[in-house]
Amino acid sequence: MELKGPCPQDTLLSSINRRDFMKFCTAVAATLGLPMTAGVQIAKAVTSPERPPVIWLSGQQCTGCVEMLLRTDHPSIDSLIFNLISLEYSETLNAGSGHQAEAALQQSIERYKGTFILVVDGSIPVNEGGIYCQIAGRPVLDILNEMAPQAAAVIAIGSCASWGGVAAAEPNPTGAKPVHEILAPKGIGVVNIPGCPPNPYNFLSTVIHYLTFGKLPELDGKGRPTFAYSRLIHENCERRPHFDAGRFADEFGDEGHRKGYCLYKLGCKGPETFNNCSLVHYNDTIGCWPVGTGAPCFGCSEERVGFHIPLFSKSRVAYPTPPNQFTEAVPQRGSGSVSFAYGVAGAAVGAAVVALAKRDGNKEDEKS
Amino acid sequence: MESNPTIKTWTPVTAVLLLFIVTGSMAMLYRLVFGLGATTNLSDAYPWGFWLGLDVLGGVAMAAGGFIIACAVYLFNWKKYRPIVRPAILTAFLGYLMAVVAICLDIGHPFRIWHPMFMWQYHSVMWVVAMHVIFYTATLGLEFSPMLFERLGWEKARRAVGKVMVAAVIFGVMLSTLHQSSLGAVYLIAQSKMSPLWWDTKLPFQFLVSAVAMGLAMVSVETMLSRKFLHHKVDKEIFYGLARGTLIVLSFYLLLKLYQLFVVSGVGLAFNGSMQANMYLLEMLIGVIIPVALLAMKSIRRNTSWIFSINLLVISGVLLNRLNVGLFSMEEYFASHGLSYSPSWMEFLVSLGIISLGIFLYKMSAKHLPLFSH
Repeated sequence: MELKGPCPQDTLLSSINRRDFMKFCTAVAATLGLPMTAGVQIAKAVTSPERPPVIWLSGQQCTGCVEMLLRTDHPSIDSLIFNLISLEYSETLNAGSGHQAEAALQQSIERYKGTFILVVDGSIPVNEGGIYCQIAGRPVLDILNEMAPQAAAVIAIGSCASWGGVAAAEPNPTGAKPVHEILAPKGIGVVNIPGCPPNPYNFLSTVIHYLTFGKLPELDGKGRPTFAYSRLIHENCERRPHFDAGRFADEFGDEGHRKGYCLYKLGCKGPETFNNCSLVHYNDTIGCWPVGTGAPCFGCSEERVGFHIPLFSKSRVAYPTPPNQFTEAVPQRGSGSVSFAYGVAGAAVGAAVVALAKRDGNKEDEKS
Repeated sequence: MESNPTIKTWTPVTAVLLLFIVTGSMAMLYRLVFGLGATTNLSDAYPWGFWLGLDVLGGVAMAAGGFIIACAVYLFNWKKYRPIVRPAILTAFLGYLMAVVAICLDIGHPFRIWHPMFMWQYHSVMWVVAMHVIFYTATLGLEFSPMLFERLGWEKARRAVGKVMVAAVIFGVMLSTLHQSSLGAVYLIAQSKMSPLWWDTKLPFQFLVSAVAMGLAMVSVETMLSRKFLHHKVDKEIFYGLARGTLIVLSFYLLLKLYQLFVVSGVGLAFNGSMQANMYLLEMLIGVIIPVALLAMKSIRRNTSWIFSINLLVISGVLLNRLNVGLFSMEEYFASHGLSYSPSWMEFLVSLGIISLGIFLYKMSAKHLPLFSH
């Protein structure tokens, strides 16, 4: 695919067929909770020659959020960054490097001033002037403060950018802060897409909503899009019937765990974490999400839960409060196969002893 | 002909048998009305228990004498064994009927027992077993029918059966060899659960060979018992012959088991002191090693009282083997999954009832049918 200049639309879309494209648009509409007819609007918006410029800024992060985006299939990363959006700058995906990349960034900011979408992943360290995370010799704190006022919208992706994440866990030596705390004094609103990493479709749907309708989707009090973060994982969890029936895995690898029982007693934070993981699974693979694979949710996307509450401590269930003791859902039947086995063995030995001992010693055979 | 006047219907033994039959039937009825979960200690994780191990695996192995003696008399024309061919066929017939009862009770929906006949799943060993049981029970019924026809005086029917008897025996021998081995083949699927002391690709052959040894011992024992208690007059040479057969078959079985021990599982596994190792050693000692050692001596091989004892050893040993394969070989696997199983008292009652029913029917047949006339 050619990379130079704004390409004509026909060559841009040559890598994706019509059917896949419409499927993608409809799926986005569904994720957003919009009627299917919105798919047509979305299709028009994302095929517009004026693709929205996106600048991706990274703070203290692990690249997990970018990796997450690389793993999408609908659309794939190449059709995403070349056809749907115009990714102007990303430390991971830049074609150039060093001064070349920084010069391109400055050009983009000037050209798209007031229209580009600023995506930030990673937390922003503020201790000692933010020297703990620097890009091109400048603290990322300064870069963010300079760039954010010129952006049309700011999206904080991942739990680090949204809440501080792992970098802000105690004792937080770098003074890591989430993006919204830094931009709040400037009066700049931030969309939070928390998760470690978040589901890529939550991010893509937010971006495409902005492209289609020219505004951000409805947000809750913490800046999260309500289409993805308004329900507890627990509410739609596939293992919820086990929770209600009192069938729990008590430890990793035990019978309940192997049978796919509820992971609550292993410290699952699903009952206090708002996310749509239980409905929209990862990597376009059904069942591919922590609870689906037998790992308890650790509340990565919830402020003050993930990276703050110990992994295996029980979560607070909104309602009802579970009893301290659960009745045995699968009671043990019978007991002691070993004692039964030795009982049978004893019977066999007894039979053998009787067989060998009790011979009437008749002499009739000796003659023959 | 008349009933055999020398056999008394009412004896203390009969009363005890009837008591077991009545209590066992009540437990069976309870199972039919309230289901497996209410009656047994079986669970979804532990679906095959005492009934399968003892009544089906053990019962079918016990019945193997039927096809061996029928083969010897009707196909090889070994006239010596003609006096015991009818008791042997009767035993096999009763053994299979009892296995069918146990299977009916053990499957989840007893009233769907006929499904395999019409809904073929020929990729399944279970289907093979089901069809074999159906065919062979029918064949045994046919082989058994002349006794009934003689009693009823239906000469035409008796002669008609006589004409197809050889064909029926050939069919029966074929089915039996297949069936005895396919019972072992059922367990091939359980490789991950069973201890390698028992699990092997040659498990079907081991089942067949041990069933032949047990069948010979069983025929010998029951003939001795009916000689003593039911006044059946037979020549001692028959017992000597059966004992020789048992020795040959058991020696071959010993070789099979030794091959398995040395090549498949490794010797150490049998001596590591675990429950499975001990059960394996016990089974081999009682059922194979001691009998072979004793039978190898000619003076013992030609002494009916020794033969009787050895027969009991072989029967106990092979029954133990079936219980080991069906239950105890999986102990380690189930223990690691936090599961354990021991039969409920009602499972014992049902098994006791089924076995008592078999003995009772044998006795009644001896009294009312021309079982020992030859």
